[in-house]
Amino acid sequence: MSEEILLDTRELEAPEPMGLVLLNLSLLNETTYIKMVHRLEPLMLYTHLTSNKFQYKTLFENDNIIIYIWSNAYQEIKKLEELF
Amino acid sequence: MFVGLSLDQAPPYKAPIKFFLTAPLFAVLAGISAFFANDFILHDPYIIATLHLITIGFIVMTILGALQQMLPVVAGAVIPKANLLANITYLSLTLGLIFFVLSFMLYQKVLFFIAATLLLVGLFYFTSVALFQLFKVQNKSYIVLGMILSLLFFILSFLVGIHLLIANAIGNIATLHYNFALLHYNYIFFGFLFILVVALTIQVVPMFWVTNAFEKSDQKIIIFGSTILLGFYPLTLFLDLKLELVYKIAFTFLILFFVKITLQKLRNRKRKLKDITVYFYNTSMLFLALGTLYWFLMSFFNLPTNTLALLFGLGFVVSIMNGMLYKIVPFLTWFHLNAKGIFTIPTMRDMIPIKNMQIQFYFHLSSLILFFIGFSMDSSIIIRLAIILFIISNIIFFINLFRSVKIYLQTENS
Repeated sequence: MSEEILLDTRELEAPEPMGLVLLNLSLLNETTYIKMVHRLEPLMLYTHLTSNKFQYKTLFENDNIIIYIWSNAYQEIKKLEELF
Repeated sequence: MFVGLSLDQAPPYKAPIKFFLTAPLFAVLAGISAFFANDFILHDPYIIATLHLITIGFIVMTILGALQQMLPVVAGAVIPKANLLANITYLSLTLGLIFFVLSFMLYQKVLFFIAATLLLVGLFYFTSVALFQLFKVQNKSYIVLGMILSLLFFILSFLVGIHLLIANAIGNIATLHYNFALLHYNYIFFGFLFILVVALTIQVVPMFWVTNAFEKSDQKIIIFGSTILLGFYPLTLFLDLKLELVYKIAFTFLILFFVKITLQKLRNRKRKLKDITVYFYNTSMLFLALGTLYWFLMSFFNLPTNTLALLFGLGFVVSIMNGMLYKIVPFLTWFHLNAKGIFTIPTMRDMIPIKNMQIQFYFHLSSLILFFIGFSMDSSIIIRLAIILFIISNIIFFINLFRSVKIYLQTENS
């Protein structure tokens, strides 16, 4: 059963969105992923995710930017892809 | 095990910080130099020194620091050998400016040539590296395009400036000299500074003040509209098309439009916490609007240029840079300590107390108002009082910024 950690950072000023994601990355495991809702595209977060071997997918929906983040250990990728 | 942020893209902490901490010190020197001027006119050597201490020492110094930091954020661009770039640029700019000021004070041509060479090396090295990185960005946003255009106008205005200097040095003042001077001022202010402020505002206002993003169509109108007008300007100047008024009307509307939407964004920000940096931003936008109207009215009335320099230079540009640095410096402190795996960090709001920023803001605002009254009444006593407030404002500004840097240094060493 997948568990979503929803991080709505639309009303947070920099660097709070980044701080919040960093705190939650350690919670990612075989069944848990992060859904981050942001109003700006966090380019610097991407580099951090890539160099720490996390996976991510960005979707642009109306005025919002949604970033799904999961670890290599995550096992329900097919279910997650249905959301993209 | 996760140990903090990746620093693959960001320049080292001290690379941009030294630019930010030096900027208010040069502003203090600018104030001291202005205080000893005999007359507050452009030809006084102390005023020439003051102008360059503000434009190069404060404004360009802040811009170069900010660009180093913003390139990875807005463009995902990595600056190769960031420390080397920062050190060479910082040294050549600082030494070049000191030699420049001394050359005017001591009337030594050799100092002037040393200064010009150092400034040229530093500015062109930095600009070419930044442009190269920006051109490499694949999907160029309007922010990236704005930065590219701004830097291109900077190079153009610099080349026109060199032409003016050579013409002055050899005493060959041609009939077109005044047109070249106008082109130089317009490209520096509207091409370089205004377009860069627009690009940075589009990036930092939603990021730091939690507002909606600027509409893409608005970004396009302001950045491309300014570029088209600036492309048209030399045609009207050198072909004597007598269309300068059309140029001024169009630019006035464009700038007032930018002021309007920026003020709207800040007023409708989602988190309405007390924030002194918003005061700085609002002051800056107000002075930009006043300066633009003043510039427009100069077509009809014989108005003094020093008031225009005050409205645009200190009122618009220096105010906005104060506001931006109060956000950028604590952000960098947080970011780099986090990257070292240190999570017990004060929040950005706690790094520089609001009261300290507020005191500096009122010194800054009072100096602007007194400068305006002093220039309007042609009163050297009021102008000197404004200068003292300006010096105090920048000393407090340095101390406030240093509080944030001290947190980094103490935490790093503990």
